[in-house]
Amino acid sequence: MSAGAAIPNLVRGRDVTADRTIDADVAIVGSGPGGSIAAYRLASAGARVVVLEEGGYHTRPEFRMQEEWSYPNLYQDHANRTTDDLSITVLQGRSVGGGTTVNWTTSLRTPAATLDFWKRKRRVEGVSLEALAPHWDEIERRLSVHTMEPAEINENNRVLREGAKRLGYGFEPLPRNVSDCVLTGMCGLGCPVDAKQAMHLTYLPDAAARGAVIYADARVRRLVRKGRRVAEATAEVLDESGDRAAGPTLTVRARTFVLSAGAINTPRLLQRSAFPDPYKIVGRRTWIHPTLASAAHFDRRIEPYFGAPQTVGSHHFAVRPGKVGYFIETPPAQPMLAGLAHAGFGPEHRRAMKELPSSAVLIGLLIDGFLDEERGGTVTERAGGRLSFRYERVPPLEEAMREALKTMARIHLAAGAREVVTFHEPPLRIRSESDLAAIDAASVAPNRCALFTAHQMGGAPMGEDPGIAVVDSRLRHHLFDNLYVMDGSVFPTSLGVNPMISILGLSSLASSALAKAG
Amino acid sequence: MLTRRQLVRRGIVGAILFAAAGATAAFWWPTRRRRPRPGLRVFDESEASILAAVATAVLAIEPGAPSPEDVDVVGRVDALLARSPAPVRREFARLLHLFENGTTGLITATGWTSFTAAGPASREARLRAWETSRIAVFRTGFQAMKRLCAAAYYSSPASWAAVGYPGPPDVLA
Repeated sequence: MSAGAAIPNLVRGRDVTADRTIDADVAIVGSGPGGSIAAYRLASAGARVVVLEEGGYHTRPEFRMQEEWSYPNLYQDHANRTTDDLSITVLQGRSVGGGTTVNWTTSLRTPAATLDFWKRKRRVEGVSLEALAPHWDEIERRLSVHTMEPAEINENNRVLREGAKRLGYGFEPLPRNVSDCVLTGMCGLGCPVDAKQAMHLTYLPDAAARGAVIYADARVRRLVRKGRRVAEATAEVLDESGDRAAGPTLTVRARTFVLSAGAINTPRLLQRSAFPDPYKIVGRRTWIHPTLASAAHFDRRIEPYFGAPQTVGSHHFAVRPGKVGYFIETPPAQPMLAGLAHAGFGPEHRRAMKELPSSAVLIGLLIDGFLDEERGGTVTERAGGRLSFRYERVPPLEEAMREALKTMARIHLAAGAREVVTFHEPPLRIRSESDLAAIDAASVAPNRCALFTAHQMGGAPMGEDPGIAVVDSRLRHHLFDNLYVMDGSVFPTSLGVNPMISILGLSSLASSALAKAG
Repeated sequence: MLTRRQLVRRGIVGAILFAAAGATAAFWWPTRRRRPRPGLRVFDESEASILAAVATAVLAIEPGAPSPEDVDVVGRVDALLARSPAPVRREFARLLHLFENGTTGLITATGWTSFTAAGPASREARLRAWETSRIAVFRTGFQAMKRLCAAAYYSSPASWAAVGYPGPPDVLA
């Protein structure tokens, strides 16, 4: 078991009993991958850095592999975040370390084709594989990114590998950011042995060792502007429950502000602060890798709740010219997540749950944002501080939903599944290739077929054209000289891979340049 | 101009029903209440009774396994909602009344009795009608109830043995 370094000088909500005014060189909102590596780079360059994190500071002693504790405490809106119509479940981290505390560890670099698309279609300049490579090299070393040994691959992932192999689909081992992983499979609940090299164990302690001060339980309410500059940020200190204002406020004055609150909360903060948005782009074009799930029953034990998730993936269908591509991965399936996700009700739902030990589960993630007709999601801050999130479906997306479902069913059947159970309402049962026509016939309208997202991107995109981008290619706001966005919001499309390493690499590139510029 | 079908698809009809039917429910079709439960922070007695009936039908736990009452599904959902913003709490309570209401039973052609007074077959038909309704707001309502019941039940360690989940591995020693 690796020893988890505590974050020196971290301030919790309960430590703040009166209003405080804080002067800093750089104020960073959010402690996920974007904010953490920016804090490290800037503090390393000698800047006085303050990080304001809305979530609590939760660490290994609390990570006891209990879904009933982890989901309400480590996810946005107690893991009840969804689109307005509940048709897409939004899993998004909320604690010191952000999404890295609860993600499933997949550590892939941004595909070259995605960077090329941004350059050609969204006027992004200087964000290239060559520019990012040295940053990624260093990040991957710091986070112990590596692929698993064959013996470390669980049954659920072997099913994907076997099925893909028999069908001739490409598949690959997925690198993970773990050190001395003991394969609990509980990554989504906070790693119980500190094997996962999340931000609260890596770049945040590194930044704090160089003088950065991290505040937990500090929810930034608004930014105050003065001409072309941001003058201060005001935050409310949250109480022990993590939900309600405890009373004291923090006023942070800084020379530079960095927003790293993630692709839903960063646009909300800009909206809440009533910052100008002449082209109506803040919170628009939010991309989410709309994610389908599919389960299959086998005549042997799979135990999809144990063992490292996402050690094998398939990008065989990632590029489908003129269509929405998708990739396939393997989630962990503990009972609560399985119970939430399984479609239907009554005996059919119960039966699916009782087959959990012999079930394999796949997810299909749609690569959204690359077709002209796609509009993606719209994030709006409503009165009373509530989120409105809508996601627009277009026919190519529904086509890809059906194709991804069929691909997952084929993989499971090829690997020897007795029966595939889809997440349609009501669920379809598929026992052979000839049953796949049922997927073409079934409705995939909102709440007729379960969709999830664990990857939130866009809403404050980068690019040189202020008509379509909120920040420039160095991640500086087009209208404010001392305001930067360093998180998944800046991606002009989705990525086609799990986002952590892309966010780290791009934020590292931008914050290094900012540090040099002084 | 919008056709009726478009209106239905956009959920406008559903939204109006939501507003109107909830108000009348309590007068026309009284909810069959279970014994009063102390300690709830969000639900009143009738809401707790409706949710308990929904949980029983949605979860379909066989005899011998811990029942939704044993796991206190209602109390767990209540505790979760107590941490949610007031509008979320209000909307969910309104949803329960609407689902209970016989008027929506008529709209979905699944009988005019209240949900708590209906028999098992009628309860299943009502849930199925909401699950697959052409009216988007009913499908949303079904998902809200189903997901909260499933999450509350299966997050409880008491539920694990019956589905064959051995619990977390022993790595904390």
